[in-house]
Amino acid sequence: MGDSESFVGKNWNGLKDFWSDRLSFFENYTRFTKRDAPLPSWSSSDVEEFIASDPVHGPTLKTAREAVTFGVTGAALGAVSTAAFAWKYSRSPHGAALSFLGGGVFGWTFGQEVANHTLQLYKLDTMAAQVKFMEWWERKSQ
Amino acid sequence: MAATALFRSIRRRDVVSAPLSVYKSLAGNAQPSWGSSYIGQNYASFSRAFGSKPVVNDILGTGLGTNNAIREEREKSKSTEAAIVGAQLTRSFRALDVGTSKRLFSTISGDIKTTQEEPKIKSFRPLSPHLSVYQPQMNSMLSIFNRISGVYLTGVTFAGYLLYLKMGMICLTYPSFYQVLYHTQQQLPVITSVTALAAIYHTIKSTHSLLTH
Repeated sequence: MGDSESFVGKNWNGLKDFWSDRLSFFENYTRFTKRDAPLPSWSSSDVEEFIASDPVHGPTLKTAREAVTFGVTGAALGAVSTAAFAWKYSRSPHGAALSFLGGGVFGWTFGQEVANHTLQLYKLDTMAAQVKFMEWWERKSQ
Repeated sequence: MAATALFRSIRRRDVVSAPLSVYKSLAGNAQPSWGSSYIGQNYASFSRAFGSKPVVNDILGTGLGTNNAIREEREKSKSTEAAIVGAQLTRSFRALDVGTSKRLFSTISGDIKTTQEEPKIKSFRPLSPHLSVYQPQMNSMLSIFNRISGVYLTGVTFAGYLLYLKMGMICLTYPSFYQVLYHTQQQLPVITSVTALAAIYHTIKSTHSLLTH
């Protein structure tokens, strides 16, 4: 009986740790989104100030923001090319609009994959860096 | 008498020329073989000299073919060739000084006028009643909502993945993205409830469909 409980308990704890780690983004976002009022808006200069002040998470945050540039570029290219292709062969406005949106989403995905490998995001914890910035801004804005 | 017969045979070549122009318009061949067509014309003109019924049949055939040719020409936007065909028809019917030809002429000319005026006449056919008289049926509505719930679940899954995992990992420090995420979080209870309802319905209906079919 003791061994069976230990076995079940061990596996349950392992399973819980596994999924807690995978679903940690809920906890990370909830701290800043489940509020009565949103945090006050910030500007690029504030982000630059944080990047300069924090030697650990600053470079990671800078890399993450560079990755956004890749994503935006990919979304723009994907949206325009897909909509143009759809418009060329169908001449329907709703088709072109949906293709624009779909192309933008897939373009963003491709752009982020390019950034992931170019900037080696897989080695960095971008979520932790962003959470640190949000905490820093929360303390500063109060 | 012989001169009259010869004159009629010469004039009947105009009748022969109409099918030739029809053949041109239908086949789209601008350069037919003149040798074989010329021989065919000669045989046709000789055969028509010995009977009245073949002439009438040929006139009817010519009219039908010409109508088709005129419709095709209108579709091709070639009014000039259609006018030429009309002129040839007029000459061919005027050459035949027979009582029945007048009726045929008036009938065919009426058809020609009708076909020419066809684009202007609007259709008065009523729309078949469908949604206004049919009552919603259980089977069709269950199937429709199964599809709707499926599309909704796909959209929620895709949007959630994109918003939280794909973009959220690198975009949280942008104010606009943070605002979107904040307002989405505020609506999350409603979204979660609808998603749960859609998931339950889709699962049950899909399972039932698989078992019953």
